[in-house]
Amino acid sequence: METPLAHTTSQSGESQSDSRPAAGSEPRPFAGVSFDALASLDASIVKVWRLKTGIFLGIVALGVLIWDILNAFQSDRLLPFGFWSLIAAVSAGSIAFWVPSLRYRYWGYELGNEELLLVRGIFNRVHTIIPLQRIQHLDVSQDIFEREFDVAKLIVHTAGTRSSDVILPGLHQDVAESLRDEMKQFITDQAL
Amino acid sequence: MEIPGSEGKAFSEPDGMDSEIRTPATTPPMEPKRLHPLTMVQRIIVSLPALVFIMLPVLRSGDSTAWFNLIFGAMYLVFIVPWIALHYLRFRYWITSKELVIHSGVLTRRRRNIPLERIQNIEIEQAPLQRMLGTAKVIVYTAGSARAEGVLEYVSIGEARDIRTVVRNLQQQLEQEETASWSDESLSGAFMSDETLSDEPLSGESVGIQASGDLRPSKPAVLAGELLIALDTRRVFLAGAFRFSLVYLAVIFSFLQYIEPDPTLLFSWLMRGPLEPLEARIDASPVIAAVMGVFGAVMLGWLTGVLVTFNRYHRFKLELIGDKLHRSHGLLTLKEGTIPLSRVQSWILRTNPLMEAFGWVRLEVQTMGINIDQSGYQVAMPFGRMEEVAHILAAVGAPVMPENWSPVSRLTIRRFLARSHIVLLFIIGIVQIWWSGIWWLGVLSPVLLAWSFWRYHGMRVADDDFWVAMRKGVIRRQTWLVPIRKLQTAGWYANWFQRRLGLASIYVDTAGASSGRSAELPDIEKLTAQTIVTRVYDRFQSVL
Repeated sequence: METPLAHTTSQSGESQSDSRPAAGSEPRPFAGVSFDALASLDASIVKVWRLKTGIFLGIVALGVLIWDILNAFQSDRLLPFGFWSLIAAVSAGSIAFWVPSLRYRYWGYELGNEELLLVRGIFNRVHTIIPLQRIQHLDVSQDIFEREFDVAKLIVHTAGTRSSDVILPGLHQDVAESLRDEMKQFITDQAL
Repeated sequence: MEIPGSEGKAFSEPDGMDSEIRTPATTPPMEPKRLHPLTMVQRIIVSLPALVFIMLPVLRSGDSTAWFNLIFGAMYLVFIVPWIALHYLRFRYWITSKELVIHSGVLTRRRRNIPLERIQNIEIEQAPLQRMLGTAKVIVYTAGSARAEGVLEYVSIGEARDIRTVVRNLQQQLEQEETASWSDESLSGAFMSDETLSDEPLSGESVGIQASGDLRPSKPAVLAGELLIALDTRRVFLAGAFRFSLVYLAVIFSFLQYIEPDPTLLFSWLMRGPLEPLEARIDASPVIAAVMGVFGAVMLGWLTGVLVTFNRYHRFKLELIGDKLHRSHGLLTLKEGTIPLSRVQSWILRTNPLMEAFGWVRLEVQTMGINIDQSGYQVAMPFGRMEEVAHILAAVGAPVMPENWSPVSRLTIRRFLARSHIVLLFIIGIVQIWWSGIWWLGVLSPVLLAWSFWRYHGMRVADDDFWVAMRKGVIRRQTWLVPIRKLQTAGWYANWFQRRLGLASIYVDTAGASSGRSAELPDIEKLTAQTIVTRVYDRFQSVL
């Protein structure tokens, strides 16, 4: 199994070096990349995510509370009043606290000379390589929470469908805009 | 009513289905034209079933108390027939040097302008009725639209071909005007590398495009196609024999619903005469009845498969005309369509264990922006040998398919077994609350074991300077051939379980591939997965 792969690797090295020496000489370190080597998101995004998750899970917990209140005077109840509400509140609180910081920890990106590399995911770790020439258009967007913390997300549109809009969230607004301006130069007429 | 002169000329032409594609002497501009007058007749004929349906109670029993239906019938005559006539009178289309214009609408006027450079595909379709009358339906597809952008129902077949030729010539002219400012790549069908193109002695249109300025646009392009494959009757029957269709069920049920016959009467009607002894047997034993029933259903499905395939792919022909694949096929309904090579994103070989055992394969292309009805996947060859696939690929200037297949990690067997058994145990656990006899479902376990090995055996990946190829699937085995220059994004991913085992899935995304049906392959050793993706990306950069 290794033999054909090794064989083609040497082939690619040759074809690359003669056609495009400048970029071919520099290594593309996608493979061994660790989160320390990548640029991380703006730390404020953790607060935004906590806020958003907290609000969402808070509403769910509120639903449980209402259910608890409605069943408070049921005669055949086994558990004391507020038991399920408490569980809901505690789990909602801990999820809203921990998951965003984990998400932040496992999010990294790097803008190379010719590509944008995204690495993300707590459970399912996804590495995406987006050649800059393939970019159709770029959006910088902010919702009300993000505006409050001066963060923005950069949405990269390609013609591909699997990641037709690759989203890079939680960048500082200035960083998002400068990234966009940098990547904008690569948008060509031949993105297809 | 007056008919523009050119329309009359096109009409008086003898059946043009077999004549070569002609070029009208003058291209732009065209007079506004009406559809073929017989359109009205066809519309009325097509609407007749509805009338029959409305009048059914009257026709069936001669029940004169069904006055309500009679009123509907009368309203039909009063409204629909004039509406068809008005629609015909209002409908105009013409081609300018920049766009195809269609004005239509009885109450709401619609004026549609379709820029010629956006037209990707002009399909000509002839259902049996249209073949009798010598007319055809012209369907215009554009890039990036979900459905047909313009439909001309109906024009004469000669006119349909004229429209296609005129649009092609004008497109060529527009492209040549732009050539000065464009790089050659965007024109020559980005899929084909330039050196392979110049090797290939292509005639007509493609030369016009390649030579960029040597041939003046006014020179009529004679489109001589190179025949890539034509399926003979025997081959089409064979293709059908490998197919199983359940369409007949729908037909039978809708028929029964409409007629509502007495099933016992129908049965005895079917079983009369020579089939009498069969009926006696069926009456005698439920086992024989069940076996006969299953056998009958399978045979019927198989027969329908043959008929459906034969109807669809009769006289299937694939030609290369310039930088477009030209496809025509059909027994009752004739279809002609084109697939521009520049729009082809990947090639897909499909087969199943039975077809594979006999060495048959089906070739599809995944395209971008044409005919989303077929969800971007079009059949380039319904049934053929690998050599024929290789021939087609060679003819369109595609490099030779990669040979260096490597398997995925054997751990995929383990993962599949674990996953499927968790599901199996879950189902058994749930069902046995009601029915403890569900334990026999455990016999599926060895089946899953065999399946997992077979699945592992089918999974392969290969790549070279031009392609990434991935093969997968058990019953529906598919091989994706993605030209590296068509890559949009690429990457690898691994969930927690995969990371524990040191595995990763790889994917290569192309423009317009539907999610779930794209080139990806799970459970490759992590290091290999990373190497493949990085190498493919490196090559992508050096190709571009």
